[in-house]
Amino acid sequence: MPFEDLGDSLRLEPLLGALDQHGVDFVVVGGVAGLAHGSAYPTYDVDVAYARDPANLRRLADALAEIGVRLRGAPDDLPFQLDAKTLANGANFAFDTEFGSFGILGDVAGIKSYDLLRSRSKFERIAGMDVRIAALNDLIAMKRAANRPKDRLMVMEYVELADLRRREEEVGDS
Amino acid sequence: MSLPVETPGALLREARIRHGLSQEQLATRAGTTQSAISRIEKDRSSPTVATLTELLHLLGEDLVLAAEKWETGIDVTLNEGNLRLAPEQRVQRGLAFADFIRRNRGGENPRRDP
Repeated sequence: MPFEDLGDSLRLEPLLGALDQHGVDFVVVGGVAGLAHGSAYPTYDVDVAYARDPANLRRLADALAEIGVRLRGAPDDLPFQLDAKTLANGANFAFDTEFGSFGILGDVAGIKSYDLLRSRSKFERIAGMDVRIAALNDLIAMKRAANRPKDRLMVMEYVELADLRRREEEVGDS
Repeated sequence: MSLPVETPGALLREARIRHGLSQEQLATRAGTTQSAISRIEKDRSSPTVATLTELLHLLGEDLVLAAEKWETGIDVTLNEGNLRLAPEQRVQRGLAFADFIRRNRGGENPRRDP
């Protein structure tokens, strides 16, 4: 009964909530951030960029363990030790979780540094909590760097959206 | 009046031919080689704005740059609607739309069970 199957819904509360509760330093990027800015493109996963300092890696590893992530596409019998060292040795990971697909990015293509991304981000309330959302200009840079056909479409939408927001702000100011 | 062209190479080639010059003749005017002109015209090298301006000047033409609205074809009606919502509501609406798409593409389930 696919029409009744709502289990595939992406549930942001447990995913972002775990990061929040463990004090992880992160910024929401990707399609969810685009939605927060007003994009009309649906998204099926949530991606976050995260700080790479050792303390944050420890907090992130604890949060991921609590969520119960599994490496996406990996065989079930593949040994995967999820700890700060594993995160330090890698950068970007794609996970399956019972709450939906979840990506963590230590190296964000198109962005010079996490600190810059973070400094330009803004707290927005989504999924019942205040989380950092990447700036629209950074989302454009990321999509431009990814450069797949869907990314190029999204660059066009984000550019239009930025223009739309600027015009609405100008109207609001006048 | 000439039609807009898509590349610097096409622009230069169109202007050169219109002025009845060969690549060799234009290269002579510019103090460069025929092959350099050929590369530009075939878009195998990308001239700077200054270089292209100089070459066009040697043909008695000027380069006119203009920035116009990029016609992306994006319909911003949905975005305008989203902007009337709070960020949290925008995300909820987007994820609900994603669910709608999931449920209406033949029952395919893209995620594995835990």
